[in-house]
Amino acid sequence: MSCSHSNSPGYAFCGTCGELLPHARCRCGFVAAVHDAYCGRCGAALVMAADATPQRAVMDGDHRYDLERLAAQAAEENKFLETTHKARVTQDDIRKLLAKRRKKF
Amino acid sequence: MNETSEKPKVRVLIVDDERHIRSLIRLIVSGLGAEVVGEAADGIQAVDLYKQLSPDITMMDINMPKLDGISALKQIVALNPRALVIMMTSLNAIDVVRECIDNGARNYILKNMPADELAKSIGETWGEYLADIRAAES
Repeated sequence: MSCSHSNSPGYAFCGTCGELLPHARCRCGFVAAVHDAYCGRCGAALVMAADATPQRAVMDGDHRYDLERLAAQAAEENKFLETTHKARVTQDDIRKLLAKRRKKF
Repeated sequence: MNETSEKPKVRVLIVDDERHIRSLIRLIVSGLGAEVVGEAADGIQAVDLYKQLSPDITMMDINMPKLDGISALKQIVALNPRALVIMMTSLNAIDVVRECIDNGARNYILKNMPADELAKSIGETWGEYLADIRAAES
């Protein structure tokens, strides 16, 4: 980073110089620290939920929000949040899943 | 005594970025009669050691620096489609479990449990692995 400013958790860009900070952006929209395993907002495992698309500014060159882009981003994040919490398993669930797979083959 | 009739120990590679977890798994699998032939702290080391050592079983963490365990699993299975890789992680999202199994992981063990329960989870399917390894050898 070009400046030495120390940014708070949740920052994707440096608050002083605006440089992109190393981070993992969950598909729910939360900006997590680059080494976090889980999202601090929705609890999704970041190994699966990290958004590979680079950050894009939601403002145009005149510093006006692009509302269509914001709406599309919000819809995508809400959709992900709706599905995230339904997907936790226990060791017993994994045993059953593996047994079912074995039967198939 | 006929030494040649003794079965060779199953050779295990342990992959985890946390040293204390590697030590714990070493203790558990040694107790099951296996020989730990290598330890790796990230996915890149894991693939390199797999190529060098050809272990019978690879115990693989997921969240690791440099290369994650799922990517390492894919590379190992590409090298050897019959590789016996057991994922050992704290990640309990169904999508992660499915991705690992779909990509050839033989088992998926949640490691965020007390050591005795972890040993039980590892041990309950150990016999199946041994049978498969012996069958492949014969």
